[in-house]
Amino acid sequence: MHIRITQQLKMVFSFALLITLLVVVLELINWAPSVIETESLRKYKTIELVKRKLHIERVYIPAYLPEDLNLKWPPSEIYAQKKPFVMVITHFQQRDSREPGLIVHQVDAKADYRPESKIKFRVKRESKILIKDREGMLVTAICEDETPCNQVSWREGNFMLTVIGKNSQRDIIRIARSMIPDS
Amino acid sequence: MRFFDSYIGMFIVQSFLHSFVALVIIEIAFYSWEIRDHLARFRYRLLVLTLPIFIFPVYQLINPDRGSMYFRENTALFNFNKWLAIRMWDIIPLYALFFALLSGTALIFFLQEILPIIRERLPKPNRRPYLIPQRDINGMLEDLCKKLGAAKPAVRVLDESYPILFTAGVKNHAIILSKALLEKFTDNQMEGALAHELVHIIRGSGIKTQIIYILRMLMFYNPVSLIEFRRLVQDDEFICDGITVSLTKKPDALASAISAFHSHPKEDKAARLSGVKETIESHSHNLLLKERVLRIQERGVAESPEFGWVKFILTTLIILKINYMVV
Repeated sequence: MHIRITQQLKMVFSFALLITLLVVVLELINWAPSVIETESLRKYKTIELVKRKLHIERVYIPAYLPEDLNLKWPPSEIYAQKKPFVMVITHFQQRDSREPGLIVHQVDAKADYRPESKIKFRVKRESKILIKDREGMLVTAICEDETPCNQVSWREGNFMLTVIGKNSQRDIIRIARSMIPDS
Repeated sequence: MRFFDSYIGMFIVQSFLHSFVALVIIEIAFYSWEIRDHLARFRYRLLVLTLPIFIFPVYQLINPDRGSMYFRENTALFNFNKWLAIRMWDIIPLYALFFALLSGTALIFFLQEILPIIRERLPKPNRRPYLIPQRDINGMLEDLCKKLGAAKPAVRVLDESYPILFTAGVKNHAIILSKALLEKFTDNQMEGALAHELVHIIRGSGIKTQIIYILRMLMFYNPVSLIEFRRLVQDDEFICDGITVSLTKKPDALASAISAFHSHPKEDKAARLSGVKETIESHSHNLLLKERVLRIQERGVAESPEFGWVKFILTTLIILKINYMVV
């Protein structure tokens, strides 16, 4: 009886050990591409790090982020890549939740790629607007939690910029304007 | 590359990854739990073939965000898209190589598994009729059927000079054997061989193989499914051998009957490409026969061990948990 229990324990231990080894191997294989392809999509801690590591000259972030919008500074999450095309995704977290309240997408205009947004919404209306002197598109939408959402997108130099937020239209347009450098 | 971000693209990639991970986990289970019984192995292997078909849609239903960039970057244990995005020497994208692997598997599936079926279904003008058996094996078959509690199947004899033995049909079964077997086999060998075929009928191997084949067809592009399907069919042979020996109590007779199926490819063909293929195929066929004979001789008339359901459920849960994190 004692021998049988010891044998069973050995089997369980061996199974647990090998499964742990499999998990470690999977993590290693998952990590390896970031060593091979240093400029592929990954998470960064700061905007400065994105600029330094990927040699992206300009990362567009809002200069205007009013207190009453309840958004935390600095950005909570930054995803960036240089290959196969330049893309920077910046999240600003709400102060009272862990969810993002504002997202900025900066994508190489030639790539014709629209990254998925963590703020999910249903489009209600689309209208053309002017952001400073740039032609842009304003999307009025409803978020998953049934609160109003808005999205503004326009072309800025070689990039397509998109700002998505759980803010009023007025606020999102002001945030978008603050991202355009004064000429 | 964007194809792999679509639902169907994700299904193809993930079903391949999930079957591979499941295969590794069941091999770990075989080693750790010391699973050598083929019936148990058969059940575990079914997980590799079946789970990857169903788990991706279920995972997506549970968490529609599972394929998103955020899940891949923050939660996933393994994100295959990172590998697919790599370009070797900045020229060859890895997704192209992956696509070639899947296409190659699909081609093998078509050539080796679909084409023979189509050929078989086509009318053959020169098909040789069945022979009237020169040797009476009906009495032996009736005794075996009584012993096993099975309905007596029809027996058809083919006018062939090499050994052939298999069971045809899903509902109305027929044992098909060649004239060479009738002439060559001793009574003991014949009893073992017929009992083996009857066990296939009782176990419903025909319908089981067809269901497994349909599952395999659903993942025609998946190399893991290709391997596992063949292993499942082989396991079924081992299972039937075990049952046959426990019923007839004549392991040596069955072992020598199996040995008669050793193939000897013609030496003059060996130099040609088709000859090489034939040699490889017959070598792997002979290896399998050798393993079956060894198993029968080692195992004798021993009973199958009890199936460990707790271990099986634990292994299944681990496959499900790890694969959820593999995208």
